[in-house]
Amino acid sequence: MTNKNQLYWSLQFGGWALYTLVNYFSLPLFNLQLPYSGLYFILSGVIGILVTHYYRYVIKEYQWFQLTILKLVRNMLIGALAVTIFYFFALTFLDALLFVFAFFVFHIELSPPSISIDTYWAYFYLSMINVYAVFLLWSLLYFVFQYFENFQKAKYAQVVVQSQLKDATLLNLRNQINPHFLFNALNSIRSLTLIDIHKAREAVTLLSEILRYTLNSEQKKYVKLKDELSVVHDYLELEKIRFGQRLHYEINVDPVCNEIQIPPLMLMTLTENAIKHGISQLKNGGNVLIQANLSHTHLYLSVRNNGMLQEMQTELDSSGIGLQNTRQRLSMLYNNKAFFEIKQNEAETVTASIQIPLQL
Amino acid sequence: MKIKTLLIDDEELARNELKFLLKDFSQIQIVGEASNADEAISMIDSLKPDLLFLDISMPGKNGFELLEELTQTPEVIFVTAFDEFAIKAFEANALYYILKPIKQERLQRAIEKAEKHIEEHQGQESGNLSSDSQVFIKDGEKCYFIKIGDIFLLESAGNYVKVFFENKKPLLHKSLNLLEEKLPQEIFFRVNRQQMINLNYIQNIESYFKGGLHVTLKSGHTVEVSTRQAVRFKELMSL
Repeated sequence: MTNKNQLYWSLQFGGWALYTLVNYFSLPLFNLQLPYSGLYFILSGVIGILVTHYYRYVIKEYQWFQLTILKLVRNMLIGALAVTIFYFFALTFLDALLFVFAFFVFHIELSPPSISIDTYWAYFYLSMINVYAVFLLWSLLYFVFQYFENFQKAKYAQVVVQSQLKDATLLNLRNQINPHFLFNALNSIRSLTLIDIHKAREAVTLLSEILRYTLNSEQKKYVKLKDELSVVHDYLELEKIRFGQRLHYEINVDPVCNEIQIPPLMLMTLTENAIKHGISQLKNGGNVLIQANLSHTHLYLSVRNNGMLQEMQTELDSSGIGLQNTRQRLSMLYNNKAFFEIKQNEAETVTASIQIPLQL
Repeated sequence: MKIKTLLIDDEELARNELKFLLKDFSQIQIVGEASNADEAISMIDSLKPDLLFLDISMPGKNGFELLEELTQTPEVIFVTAFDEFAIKAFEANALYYILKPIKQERLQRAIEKAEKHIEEHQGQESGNLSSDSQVFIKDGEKCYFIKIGDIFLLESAGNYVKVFFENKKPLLHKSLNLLEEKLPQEIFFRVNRQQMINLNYIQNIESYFKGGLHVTLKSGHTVEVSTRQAVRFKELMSL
């Protein structure tokens, strides 16, 4: 901010000083001479700074940056004219004041320029056009700088958003290997080794599949639906060992969907949620139903489970983060054309559904 | 000495695993298994276990909610697979917990500690509360196992009772009337509608108008004994 202000003021002073000097030294070229022109030009430079500074305030106050380009050009043309008129009034007034001041205080008579009235008017109109052009140039420069800066700001914001998304993805991936699930699974397997060694061995394989898939999917943006479904199946099988009769599940997928690309671990997250907040909260357990269908335009995925949608999405809850991430990832990958919803159905079941556009 | 133990976990495999591990501890006598809080509460009432192995995440009420429903809490060893909030609570309040899958050493230390506690409180009549019994209170993030004898004042506050002990006063979700029934009568006295005091903590008694009394406790708290209760109070204190 201070940098920006510094730049503004140095450009103001530098620009107006340059303008004043050029004016002063170009006078002889036009064969014009003003007896107190040095003072006069310093005065004109100071007034230039003051009126343009006020002009900037008006531009900011009325938010010209929000205008369409046509309206902006119109405003710039009229604005520069208004500033020019104001500038001349101020200059003439101060010029007169200077004259009076010099006469009465220092008893110096600043003699008016020894030129004819016609020349004076010619000079007047010429400098008016000149000043008008200067103000136009000023506002043009001002807007170019502003747009350049806004552009840079936007670029910076974009970088920030991208890094935030990256963080979110990392967090998401860390959450994927759900420690609660992992340690419970290991505990179940440990217990199984005592009573059913074959089932225990199978469970180790299932857990390996899940871990492998989770670790591999870090590098992938999309996976085939059938691959995700295969790991969701492994996951549910493993949870079935843990929950026994309390968990029933069904995966109901139209085979035409199998090859469609989806973001990895999304269906998995929703299934984990269904277990963690649905089935595991019910004494007698319940069902999990996973469905995938296709229309001409969209892939429809849904996870439905028994349970109540309570304060599942509170900020403290890790699943709240999980759902938020699902939403974020979808909007990032599909440009807001994907859809995600989780809702309570009447029959004490919760449905999480995703719609993914087929055309990216 | 046998320690009557109740296992509470919603997963059968987890209970089996724990049972298997507990075989090595001859002093542990498993009297029952419960798969949820409600089952556990009725088993605690009927079996009067000395020790609970308690899973935190369970369907319906979780482990903490279960404990809060009990009037008298046995020794508890918490068991959890991974529950950040619960573990924070355990650590903040120096409660004993073990993590699944369970390490034998850790289990052994937990049992030894529980055993010591149980021995110290031996001989107390089970059923009604004695001054050595403990109650569990979870007040927000904080958990307390409070020895009944350490409580000096109970104060009714809506649906809750403020339990004063040491310099703390957590809220217990029970009515003062219920507590009056359960608490040992030789120690606790209902001085008025709102308050109940521990007689062992009385410092000073002064007469008050209309036959009432002013009692100052060692903690500095002053309570008023209602006219109605003052007669009984005087008898009790043989004033």
